Amino acid sequence: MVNGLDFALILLAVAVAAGGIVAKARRIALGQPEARSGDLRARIGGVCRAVLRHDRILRDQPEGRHHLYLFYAFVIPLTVIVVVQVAFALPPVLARPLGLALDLVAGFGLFGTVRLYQRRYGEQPDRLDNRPEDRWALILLMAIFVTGFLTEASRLSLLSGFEYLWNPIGFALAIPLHLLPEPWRLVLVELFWRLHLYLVLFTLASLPYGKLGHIPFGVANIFLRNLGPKGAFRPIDIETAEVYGVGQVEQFTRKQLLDLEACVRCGRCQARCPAYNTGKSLSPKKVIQDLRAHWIAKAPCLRKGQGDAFEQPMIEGGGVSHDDIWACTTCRHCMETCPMMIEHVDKIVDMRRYLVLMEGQMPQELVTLNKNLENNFNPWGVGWSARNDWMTRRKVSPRILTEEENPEFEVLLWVGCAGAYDDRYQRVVASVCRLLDRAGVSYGVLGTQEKCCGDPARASGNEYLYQTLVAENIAAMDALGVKKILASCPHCLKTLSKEYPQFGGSYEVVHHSQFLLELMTQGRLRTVRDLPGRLTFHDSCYLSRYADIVAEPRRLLGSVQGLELAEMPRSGTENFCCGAGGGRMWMEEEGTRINNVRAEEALATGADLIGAACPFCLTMLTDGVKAQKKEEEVQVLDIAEILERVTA
Amino acid sequence: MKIMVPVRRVPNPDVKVRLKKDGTGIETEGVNFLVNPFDEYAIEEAVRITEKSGGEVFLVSIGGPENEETLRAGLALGAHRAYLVDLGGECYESSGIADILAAVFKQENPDLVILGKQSVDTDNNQAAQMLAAKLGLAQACFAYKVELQDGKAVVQREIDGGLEVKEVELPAVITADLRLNQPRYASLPAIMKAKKKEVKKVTPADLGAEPKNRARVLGLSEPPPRKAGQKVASVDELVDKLVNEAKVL
Repeated sequence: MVNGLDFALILLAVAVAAGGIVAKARRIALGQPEARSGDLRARIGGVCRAVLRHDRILRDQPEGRHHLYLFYAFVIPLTVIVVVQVAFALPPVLARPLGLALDLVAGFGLFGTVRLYQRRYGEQPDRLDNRPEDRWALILLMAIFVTGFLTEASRLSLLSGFEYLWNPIGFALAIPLHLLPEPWRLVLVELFWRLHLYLVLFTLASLPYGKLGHIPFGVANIFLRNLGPKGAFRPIDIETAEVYGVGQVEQFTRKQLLDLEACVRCGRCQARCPAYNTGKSLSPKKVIQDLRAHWIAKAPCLRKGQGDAFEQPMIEGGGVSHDDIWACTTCRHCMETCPMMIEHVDKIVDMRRYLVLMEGQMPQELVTLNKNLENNFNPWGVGWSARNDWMTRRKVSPRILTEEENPEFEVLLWVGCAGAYDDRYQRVVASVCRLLDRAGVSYGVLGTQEKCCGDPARASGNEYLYQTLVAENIAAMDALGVKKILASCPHCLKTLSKEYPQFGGSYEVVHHSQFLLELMTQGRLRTVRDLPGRLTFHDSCYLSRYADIVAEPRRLLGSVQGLELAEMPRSGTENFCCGAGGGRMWMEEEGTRINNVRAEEALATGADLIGAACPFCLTMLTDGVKAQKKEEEVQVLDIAEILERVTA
Repeated sequence: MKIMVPVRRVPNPDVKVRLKKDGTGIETEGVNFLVNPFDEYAIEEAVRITEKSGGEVFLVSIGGPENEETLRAGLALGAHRAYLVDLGGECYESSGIADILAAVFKQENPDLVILGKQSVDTDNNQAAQMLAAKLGLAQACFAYKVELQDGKAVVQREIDGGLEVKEVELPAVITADLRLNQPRYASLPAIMKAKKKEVKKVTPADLGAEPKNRARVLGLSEPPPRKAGQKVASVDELVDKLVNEAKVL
């Protein structure tokens, strides 16, 4: 079947593909080195889940299913063909069901491909942008399936008998072919088979060059994905770094450039992006594609070592804009959904770092934010000496730990800036205090020694200020021998648990949803009152997508008698952001406001209570409910406040 | 153009001020100090002028060794060098401060002095005016906009009920109001560079200054604590209370 010419062509196709991969790898090598070593088994396991199980791809239906069909319609027959080359004659008892399976798999593959084509060019969903390479890739795949079936059919047309009903599609297509004289059929077998082979070889050769580049580069990208704590940004070594953040494309790491190569423009990120979906210029897909286009344009200059000669800037040079960079709420929905595991948020933060640290450029509200953090160690700029005032105001008296007066304590209650200064969240932290008292937990607070955990500084690019705050907090906590921290703000939770270890601060950190659930299951807190009502719970991105905390708040709320839980269409790890992450809490929002969109979604469940577990979400949703003029009928409460009402 | 910018180290204005027990001053223990916010506008304006048309900006801060921190923060905003006048523990009122600033002026002969309209700690709003008087220079205070033309400065200043446009001959003393500009946020390379910029440490004697205090603080006292408010049930009750209790109607 396969002759010398075919072998030569196979080798040529492999060589062309390898050449493309090498060329692109050299372009990737223009970036900065980045260590992504670590657990090989975990890396391979991740690739298997992503590729063989299609776990992220299948989240969006029906296109995920269609992609799965097409994927296996390639993998299975290709494997069989390779195996058959080695071990020729299969006994009929194996060959027949295998023939049936191949027919079905290929049939599904063709169906899937046609449906994908129909979706892209018929339905045209907003998240897809069409380029010629998309059409050609789909047509190529369809042609491979069709020629495959025609090869089979023409081959079967040379045989007679009904045992070939095991190959139903080929059998059916062979029926009309019987009308042709046999020599013609012989020619057809050869013709279709050659066509099929050459199309496959063409696909193989073109693999790294176009749309299908997501196969080699996507797999490599998934293999090299970040295995570190989810959502922890890379620290900058302030003393040794020559550039802070990324303002030139070659300052991205090689892994970050591989990200750009792996993007297949499926737009799943864009479809979920809170900024994009409220009419902002930002689209994660566009950011990746803009950076990629810029990189490809600049690469020839960089190869000659003349990066400076390339005049077009990466930021505000027609691609990524300041507006894009500052619109991101760091909700991580793009990253958690990307089938190629591209790291969008880290790139946006790197560009923010460049703007803030290298250029001192940022929206004016962020200048105020940064100065507030510098001078008073909280984002609102209330005097730092007033950090304990909430206690008298809310009539709670947690023990303030000092080095002199430092008794044994079970857990450090991290009050957080919102807990200390925000009128609304003071009440929530006071509820947490009363619940801890009720359960007999011994706990203390840092008092005025506590400073902002640094999340707003880091997410908005000010790594320098961030590291200053972190160092001071770690020093204060280590002096007190803190081991376990209870945080009521998911942003504090993220930075304390995932990022403080980067600077030597290792603590067990839990969110109040986890801690209170623990107290309930231990029987240290018991529900004694009903709370009739219908509640919808809004997940904080920093709980659901950053910390995988989805079940705990629901279990807590589920334990309240009389409370009926109504889920929003977008909930759990698929929740829609409130709009306040990534420093956006302190910035003005133009146009449609994210929090209003989310509040509408919450109100549409018919709930009379909206549950939250994050100070920013609480503020944003309260504002959103007010914007709908529903504040009289619908209350927005933190889970701690709800629990305080029903427990003893 | 050479521009002199005096900068003041002030206690963080957002933190509640506590008085020393003897009432002679404020408690500085545990208080963080910042660059006087009005002086940041002055630095920004001076730096913008030199960025546009060349020259240099030098800062002057009067106090103790701790003022170096204040000066480094100012240098990070783009000033080129600085003087730190160490008073060796002495304290001076506006007039004494103006004496020292005048001595620095005479050494450096700048074309322009820009400083904050007042420092947010004592709120005296006098040093600039006294400095202009001691040097016999023109002054334009509370600047909203500054434009330089050869040998002159055209200053728009905010006055009650409007703007006044004033032309002053250079050298002159200009004080910055908060609408003069939007001070920049120092970049990290600028902060690093500021660590290496020259800070010349001098004493009043080195400058040939003989500062004199012509006023003296006798004592400080806290405002009386605010009394708790009252809630009233109706407008009638409110009017009744305003008429009969507060006796303001």
